[in-house]
Amino acid sequence: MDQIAIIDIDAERIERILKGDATAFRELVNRHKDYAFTLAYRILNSREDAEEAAQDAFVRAYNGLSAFNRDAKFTTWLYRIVVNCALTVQQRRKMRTEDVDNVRTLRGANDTTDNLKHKEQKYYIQKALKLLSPDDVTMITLFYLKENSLEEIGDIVGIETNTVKVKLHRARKRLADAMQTLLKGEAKSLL
Amino acid sequence: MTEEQIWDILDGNALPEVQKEHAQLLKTDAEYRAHFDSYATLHDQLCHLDLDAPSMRFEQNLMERLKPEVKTKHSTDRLPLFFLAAMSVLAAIVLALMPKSSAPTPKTDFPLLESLNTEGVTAWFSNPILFYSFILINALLFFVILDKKVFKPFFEKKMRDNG
Repeated sequence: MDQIAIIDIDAERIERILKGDATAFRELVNRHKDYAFTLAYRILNSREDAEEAAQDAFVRAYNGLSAFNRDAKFTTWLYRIVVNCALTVQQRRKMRTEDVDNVRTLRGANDTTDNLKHKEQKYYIQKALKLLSPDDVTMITLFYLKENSLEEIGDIVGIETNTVKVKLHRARKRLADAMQTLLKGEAKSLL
Repeated sequence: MTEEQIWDILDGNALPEVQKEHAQLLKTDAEYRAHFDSYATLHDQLCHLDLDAPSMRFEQNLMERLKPEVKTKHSTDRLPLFFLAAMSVLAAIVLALMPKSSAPTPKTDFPLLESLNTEGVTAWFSNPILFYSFILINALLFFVILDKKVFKPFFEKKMRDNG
């Protein structure tokens, strides 16, 4: 589905919500909840906190919908709220480090080699992302998960496009370093 | 080749001269090739990262949090107030239209109370047809409110939960 169609669907739903249709809001939540949650989860490293932040963001979006400029992209506006809510939750609560499951627990009986490789790669990336600062994680998540442009990321986090580019490069460099450190550590532990 | 240039190549934003240099290095420099491959692998993995899903109750919890705000937009919330107002008006009309009794009204400190025809009201309620009609109207109004406030939301929620 192309960008314009997505914007039209969101605009149509926003129109219905403003007319008092509660089911339209439910539909809007359904469309964007996974991304909102993932963004918050990457920043907060806790499912519980991420759910709280994502819910706060949707409540704020619902309350501020009448003030939303409908010429703008809804997701850019929503993700800005999600990032702000995640940072608020982070400030409010002490970061709780979640127990990271051992990579062996990821292995199921029906895993093929490719499946397993994909799972392990995902595991290490997620582990490495947890070692980065929320700022770095936000940049990487916004850039990769929905392929936001540098301009859109700038709008979401409130910085210049050139600054986004520099921050993104640095974040990816730090992620690559973290991955290397993790993989070296894993190799040593196997010896 | 700088780190930034490598990421530009992977993002597809590199200038032609950088791409040319990169192609040359890939052919001639094994160390550069290994370095580039590690970044390319990471880039590819990041591109294929899945979205995490919130808990099954996420949507339901959110709608429950929003319920008070959504509810205030419905006029059915004011139904008990409309009911009380309607009953007050009805009572006032009944008292005003009641035929005045010939018996003298006892003197009190409240002139408004003296003007009320209390005997007439008693007589009106002692009429079984009028009394049962009054009870029936009240019962009907009670069931309408019960339906709108309790049964309808309950069955709507049940239907939503069942899919």
